[in-house]
Amino acid sequence: MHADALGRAGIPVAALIDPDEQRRTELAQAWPDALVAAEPGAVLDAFDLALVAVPDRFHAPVSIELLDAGKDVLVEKPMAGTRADAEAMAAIAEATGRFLAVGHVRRNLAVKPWAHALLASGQLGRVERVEASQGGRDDWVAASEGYVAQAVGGVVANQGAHTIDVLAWWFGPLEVVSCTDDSRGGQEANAAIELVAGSIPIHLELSRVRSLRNTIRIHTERGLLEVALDQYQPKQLIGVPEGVEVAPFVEQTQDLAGQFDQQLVGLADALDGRWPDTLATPASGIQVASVIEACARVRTSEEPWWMAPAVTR
Amino acid sequence: MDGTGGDPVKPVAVLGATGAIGGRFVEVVAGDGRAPVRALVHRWWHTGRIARFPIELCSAPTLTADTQIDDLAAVLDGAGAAVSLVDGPDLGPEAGTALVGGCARAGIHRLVHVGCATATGRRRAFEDALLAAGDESGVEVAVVAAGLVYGPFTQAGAHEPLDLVRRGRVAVGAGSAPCPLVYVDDLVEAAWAAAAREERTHGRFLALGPAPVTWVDLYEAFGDIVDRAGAAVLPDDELAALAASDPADLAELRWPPEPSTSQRAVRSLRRRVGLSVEARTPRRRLVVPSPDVLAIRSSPVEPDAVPATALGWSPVVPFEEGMRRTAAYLRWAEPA
Repeated sequence: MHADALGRAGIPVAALIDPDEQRRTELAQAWPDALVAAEPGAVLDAFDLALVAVPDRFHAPVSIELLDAGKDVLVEKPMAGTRADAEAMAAIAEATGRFLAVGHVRRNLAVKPWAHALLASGQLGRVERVEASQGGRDDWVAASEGYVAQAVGGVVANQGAHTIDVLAWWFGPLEVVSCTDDSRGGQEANAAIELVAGSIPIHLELSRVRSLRNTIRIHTERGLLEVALDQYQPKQLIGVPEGVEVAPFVEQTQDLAGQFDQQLVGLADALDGRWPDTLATPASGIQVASVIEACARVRTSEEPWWMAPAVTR
Repeated sequence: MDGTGGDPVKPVAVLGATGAIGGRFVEVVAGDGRAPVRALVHRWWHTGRIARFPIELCSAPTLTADTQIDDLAAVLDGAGAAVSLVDGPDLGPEAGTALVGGCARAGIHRLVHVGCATATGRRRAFEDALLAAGDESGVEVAVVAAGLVYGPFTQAGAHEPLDLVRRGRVAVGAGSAPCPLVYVDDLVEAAWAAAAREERTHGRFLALGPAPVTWVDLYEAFGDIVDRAGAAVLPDDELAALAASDPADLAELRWPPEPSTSQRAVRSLRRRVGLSVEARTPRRRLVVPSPDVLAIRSSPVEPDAVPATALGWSPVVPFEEGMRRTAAYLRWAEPA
């Protein structure tokens, strides 16, 4: 997705790095003008900025290696699986004076900055509670077992990172009250998380197997604001409180590729000194990593109802 | 019984583990600690349900006519038993021969395949090839054939019938054969029984639920989930004629039909003289199955097959309980 977005923007891909030999062969065929290497060290002179889209568990070590080598970095979400790793990444960026951002691409769905601005304006009054749900049969064409076979691989860190980021962006630092999931020694497919942002209670449902609403429902003093979490719903803005004058939102068709294009624009602006609302900062990444880590720490595993023995005659 | 040929350390190799039945097989075997599981995975993003367990996931291409014995080494080598729940249009006799060949090479003495009692064409040829290759190689092959598998996560036995009754009343021929229904947990236990059995186990076995169920029972039970009538019984010849007609002509069909002039007159008269009048059944769209589906329903499934009870297994989930669980699953899985 990242390389395709660069291609559409006319930005040359200097080097492509993958430890898998077969993948390198495929990459060399697809991008004949780019250098292809098994590790960053072999092509360090070829680029200034790296897009790090390795499996989640390698986000921290690879980003730190690149930052330490004097490269700017956009790392895929989640920034890391633990607060300590994310803070180490931010610290090395600070120490080297390099640029570090986190690719929470779904911030670029047009309704997200619009809703953020509306909430920040105070027009809706006090936020009383929030319900968010994200779930469906997963269709992300993952290329490797990194999707599940790793320390940070369940629905909370993988899909949930998107929504956790939006919640922290809109409502402030999050604290995990409880997390119930269905892990049986592996990676959870379903999770129900209770969070608080200041005094706002937030209920978050995540699933890899259920068809959920895929929205954030914000109950405010003035009524209910509901917005889509991803591009799959027919409308991005699902509902606004009646009788409240809000800035117009123009519905638009916006696929995932378009969001990656938008992210690239935001990245260019940030490098130019104009950090946009839609590009996640290291501080945001640390916040998401903290929630992921806290969920893993406090979680209670609940037997999914269908695992119970069948009632028999 | 540990299902691993007597060696508790060896895993059960599961092919087709990310499907509805395969996923349940993994849940039961890994969740109950019956045996270690090694699952063959084609699409990592479909592993959410089974990756909840500390099982071994290994990647390999989909089983097709081009599959070579060596392609299966990663999943079969070192396994104590193999259970296949694969399905799809790419299967065929070549894939069946390769799978049994892979088992023979890996020293696996028994392969269980969960098959389809209504399979035709290359799907049925795949199942027949498994048995034939087993005869030749000495690998015991048990094909546990099921008709309609219902329960959580199943498409044909949960999501699809729910979609049908949401659209309208599903037409059923008055002379339909019983629905060859089996609850997913019962089928998983039949497959496990075939894998873990001490005695030589080779052949085709039919797994059915504990008591006969009609197609009307099935659609009415799904209708209950949406609080509407789910089935409409039509004479067989009338239904066959409808099924053969242009689908565009069927879109306007409603059931029950409009009352005749005389029926309306009788109702009006009864009302006028103060007699009770039966409330009219709400008319709904009539959903007419395809001729292929009707053909399957018109005859009993594999009447000469050996029942899977020969494996020492018996179904234990009554239809009412299976539907209660299916309905609960659907409310959980599709809350929106």
